[in-house]
Amino acid sequence: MSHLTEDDSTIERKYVKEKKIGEGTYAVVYQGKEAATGRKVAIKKIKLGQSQAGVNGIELSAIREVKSLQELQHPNIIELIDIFSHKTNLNLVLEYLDSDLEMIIKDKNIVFMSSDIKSWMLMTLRGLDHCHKNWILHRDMKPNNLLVGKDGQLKLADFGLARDFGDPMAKNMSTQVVTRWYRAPELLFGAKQYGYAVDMWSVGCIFAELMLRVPYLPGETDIEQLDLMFRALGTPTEEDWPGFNELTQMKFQKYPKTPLKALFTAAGNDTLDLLEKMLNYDPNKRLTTREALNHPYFRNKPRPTPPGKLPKQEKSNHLNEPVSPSSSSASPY
Amino acid sequence: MAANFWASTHGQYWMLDEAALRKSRETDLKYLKEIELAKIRGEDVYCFVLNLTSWFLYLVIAALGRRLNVRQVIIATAITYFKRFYTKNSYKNTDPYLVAATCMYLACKMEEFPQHIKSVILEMKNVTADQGGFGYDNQKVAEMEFYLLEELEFNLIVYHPYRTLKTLAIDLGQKSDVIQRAWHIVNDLFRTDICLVYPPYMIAIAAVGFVIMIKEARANHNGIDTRTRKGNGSVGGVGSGSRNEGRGISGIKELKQWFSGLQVDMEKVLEIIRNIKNLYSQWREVNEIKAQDVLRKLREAQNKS
Repeated sequence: MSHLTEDDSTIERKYVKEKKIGEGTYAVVYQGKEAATGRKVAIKKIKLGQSQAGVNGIELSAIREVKSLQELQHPNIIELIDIFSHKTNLNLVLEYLDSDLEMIIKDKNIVFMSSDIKSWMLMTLRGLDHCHKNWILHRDMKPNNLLVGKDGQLKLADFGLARDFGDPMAKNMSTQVVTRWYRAPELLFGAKQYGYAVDMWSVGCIFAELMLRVPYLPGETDIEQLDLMFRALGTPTEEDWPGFNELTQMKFQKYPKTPLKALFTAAGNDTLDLLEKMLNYDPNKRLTTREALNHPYFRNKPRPTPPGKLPKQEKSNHLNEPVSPSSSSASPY
Repeated sequence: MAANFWASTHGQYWMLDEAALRKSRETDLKYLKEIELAKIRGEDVYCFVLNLTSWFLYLVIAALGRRLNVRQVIIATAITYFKRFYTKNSYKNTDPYLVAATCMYLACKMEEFPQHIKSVILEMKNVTADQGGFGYDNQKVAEMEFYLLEELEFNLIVYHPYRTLKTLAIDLGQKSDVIQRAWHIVNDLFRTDICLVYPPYMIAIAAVGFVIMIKEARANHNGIDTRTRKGNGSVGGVGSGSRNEGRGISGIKELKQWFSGLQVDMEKVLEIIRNIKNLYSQWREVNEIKAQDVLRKLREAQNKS
């Protein structure tokens, strides 16, 4: 990766900005391409923060994104291709993918086979495993942040909430992370110290959503989120989750534990076993990425669909690039 | 312990050698020679500048960190940024105070303990009040942040020895004072450029090794005393040491055994231990006032240009 200090015109020479595709408080995102290769890219231009108090430094989420993506190179994690810095702005050149798992889930023209779901889960877990191995928590795992390329490869994106987890003294971590529907119970209870397990809970919710084709636990408020969770998985007891009684003064209705089979009627036993272990209330007992990848579900039939053969959205792009048949780069661990 | 480190940007791009560090100080050295300040120490001019100036600037950054009430890890990250920045820049041409404040500001964000840019500036003014002061505003620090990021090549995650110490603490037991002492040694080591040269897990192991060596030296010393008094005592000091210190690994013998079982390049670890010894032997010699003098000259040069 080259890090050049050049003015905007150089960036425009190396990368062609084609259109604005989004604008946030701290960044403008353009779609473009690399001039030399025609490769599609997203260019995130980060502006100098401004507030009533005057000029501010670079937005925290931009710092998070840079610090995480600089450490992570993996087929299932979005690539930070280049960074350009100019006196008061920063340009991140990212890989551009035109679809994401949320769009695919919502597209009712697409039928999912269980082998497809297995393939998406495998890629999600591989990407996440790589984050965790590098001490990085993603903290915002959801279908919308799992981008899908034309070759079918799924890639974790949006590291604006990601933090590195190496600091053993870190306290008072924010609980306002992870979109509510995918938020782990310990976060909903305001745990100030949490770990990799919060990402795994989100993956469990995504797994369920892939099977149901609708969000699994779509709470409107934090309280409703807990209620939905307890209805679905049973209200946790001190036995399920040691320390649970001390987490909160709130009294919850005691819902019985219903077998997952009741809702996920078509799923096999290995599927349900994996799902249940991802959605374990006790963060210490919840599966790690490594354990999940070693689960029999991934070894049992059907084999995961090779990424190139995964179903994709019809309304395909106007661009005349050939769809590269991806040789299943998904090498087993 | 080491596997992830070597895959990180820290392991891949930021392990420098002494020669590179020496080279990075050339501009400053040349200038100090010009103004004849370097002559104070003659041949040893390289060590002189490196030790005194970076030692003094460590104190500035640590003081700023304490005023902002940040954890030691944040101070360590800020100092590492600072040192990395000055492998490519000179004190003479870029004001170390401005860089120090910006490093702290960025490190706080990086370690998820964001501070308002104004608080950093205010505290930096306090820290440097009797050392030439700090005349920069938001705009200047914000601009420096972009430049700093660039000079850091956008590699922001820094590994520190503290994480390894935590891991080693599991072996040694909660009661062990070895880790606590090693922790302080690691803090002290940020006065030197060791964090630019050696991998953090090795620094942690070396600090622990140093503590064990000191313990052994003391135990032997006590052992001799016991022997002369009691007339026996082939096990003397060692045995009593382990009885006094409770659970976990604490006897010298066990500690040494445990230590030699660590999977690490011991040659390198010994090198770091030598550096630790140097650090403490210089401790008294390093005179803050002289450092301030060097720094003042360098900062003056820059105001002129």
